[in-house]
Amino acid sequence: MKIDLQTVAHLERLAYLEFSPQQREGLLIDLNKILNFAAELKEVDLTGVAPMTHAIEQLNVLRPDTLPLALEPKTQSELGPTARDDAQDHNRAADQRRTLALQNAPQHDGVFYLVPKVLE
Amino acid sequence: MNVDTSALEIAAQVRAGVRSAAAVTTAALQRIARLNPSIHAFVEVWSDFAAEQAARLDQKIAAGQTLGPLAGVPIAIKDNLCVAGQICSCASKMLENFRPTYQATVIDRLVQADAILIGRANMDQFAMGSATEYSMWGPSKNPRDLTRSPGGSSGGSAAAVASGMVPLALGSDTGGSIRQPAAFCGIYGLKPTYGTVSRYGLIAFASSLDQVGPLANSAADLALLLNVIAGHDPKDATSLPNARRDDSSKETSPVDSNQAWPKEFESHAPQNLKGWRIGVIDEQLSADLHPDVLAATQATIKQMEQAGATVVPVDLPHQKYAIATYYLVASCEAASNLSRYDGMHFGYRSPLAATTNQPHAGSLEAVIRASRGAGFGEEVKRRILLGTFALSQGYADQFYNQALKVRRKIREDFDAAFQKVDVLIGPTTAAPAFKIGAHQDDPVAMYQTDLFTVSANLAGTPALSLPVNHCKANSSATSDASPATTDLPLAVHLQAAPGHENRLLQMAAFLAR
Repeated sequence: MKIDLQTVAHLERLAYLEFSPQQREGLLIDLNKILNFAAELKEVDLTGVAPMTHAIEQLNVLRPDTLPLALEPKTQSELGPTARDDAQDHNRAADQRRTLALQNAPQHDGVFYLVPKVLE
Repeated sequence: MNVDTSALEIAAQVRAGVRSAAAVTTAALQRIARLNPSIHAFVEVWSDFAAEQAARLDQKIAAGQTLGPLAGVPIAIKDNLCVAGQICSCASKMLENFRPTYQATVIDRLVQADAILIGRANMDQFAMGSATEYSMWGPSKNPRDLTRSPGGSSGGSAAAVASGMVPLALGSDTGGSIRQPAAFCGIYGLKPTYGTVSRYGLIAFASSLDQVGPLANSAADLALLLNVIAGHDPKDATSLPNARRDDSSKETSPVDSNQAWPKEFESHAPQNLKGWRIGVIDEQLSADLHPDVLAATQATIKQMEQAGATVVPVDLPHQKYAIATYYLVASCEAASNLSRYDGMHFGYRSPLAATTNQPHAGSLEAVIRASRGAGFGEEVKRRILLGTFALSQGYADQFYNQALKVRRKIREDFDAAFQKVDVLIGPTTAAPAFKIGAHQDDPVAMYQTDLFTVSANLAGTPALSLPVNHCKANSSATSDASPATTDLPLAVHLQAAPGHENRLLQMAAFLAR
């Protein structure tokens, strides 16, 4: 099995990557080396063998159907002395969660992620 | 200078009030300041954060509160484990400035145990590599010989412990990334049974293979840290529900939900090895082993035999396919896991994409491509491409599914072996630590260095690497080709059936006596 530059370019598109022509040449050599090496798996008799996708093949892990918050809002005391009524607390907590969620965004406007134009 | 190499000792001193957490932490920070510039084990040292943690712990001590098992013990954290509020870069430009808003379960457990988180340890980008050379921060050096690699991908963790900067480190092991660096640096490293330690907050590489584990200077310290981090976590669906059950039976059965799990990990060295059945994989000893590694492994087997163990030859017929199987499975899972990095929600976004003159310049797709192209390192992209190929239409059956079937055969080999033996022994690596840059131009040669370690990840079994230095004084065992290797650490690899970490810890403690 040998792949060509066209395949590398195809994979590049599928994987949402970007290479220079020179990098593509290098990857072609590497991938062929690896695939050549992986071809040895073909010699194993695997009749009737089921694929093993996981080390621990357990099914149906169940937990209570509760809504855990991945982004923990601050505690009541940290919300400040003025935050007394529930609605106000709720809004503040939501604001804090949003701030946390956007903290790592490359671009945002404080409320939404900013991304390149999707629709023409 | 007092070198703190034992976590058990430090915790005992802090608990007894002999030393304050602040004093221990300051000593560690001073050692790091002195050694890290040449070894480069840490990519960031949390000096202020560590001092804060120590001060808080000392207040707790002053208030007479009960202390955790890692009281005051400084610990290095591999740069792929999320510590809330600290950068977690995976040694990649993609996550160079990523500050997780949540925390890994293992970190929560360390904090509860009163450990002192000291800094981020260097690694191969996204844990893909065997030399810590594929790090955006530059390579780490082996403390035993600065021209050599500490191994990888947890090379920073291993180098930090081996150089005495810290007594403990957390690493992650997808194909040997704890055990190979431990072997290269002359320390102890354990990959637990898959599912023993939560993966929540570990940045995913290959989810069915990844497992977090300890690196330390003794089996006792491995057990100490493993006891803290192991246990069921509802946040990780692959975390074993019965991660701490009674281990009274010596019966070994293939992993299933009825598996016996240790309640407590412990490393009491047995008086002798009477009743222990040791499996020797003949094929591993006839492979192209470095003569010192072969001699060290044989000497260890002899030591076991003299202590009363029964040595049984074991055949693992599919072991020779492990590397190919591993690189296909791991790359496919990586290609899938790393598809989340799109430069939109978090991670690196290319500023150039908007201005390139390629088709669709500035489009969403162009920005994603440019961001991934520039954010990921070469090895990461190589594996994404390989995984994408092995999963693509027309090839998935031939490559990915084929690899998954061979994976089952590898597992069945282990299941059969562990019906006959308690512990398997072999070398951790075929040779001692290689020179930095030795495999730079040949990915397949680099992959081959994982030959003995990847099967445990494929099968989900526990495995431990421990230093043995039988050949140190025996210069005749060293070939002319590598005269410089006589003082390099040598290691052996112990493997057991799922859930039987204690056999590995006990055996390691015995061999160290």
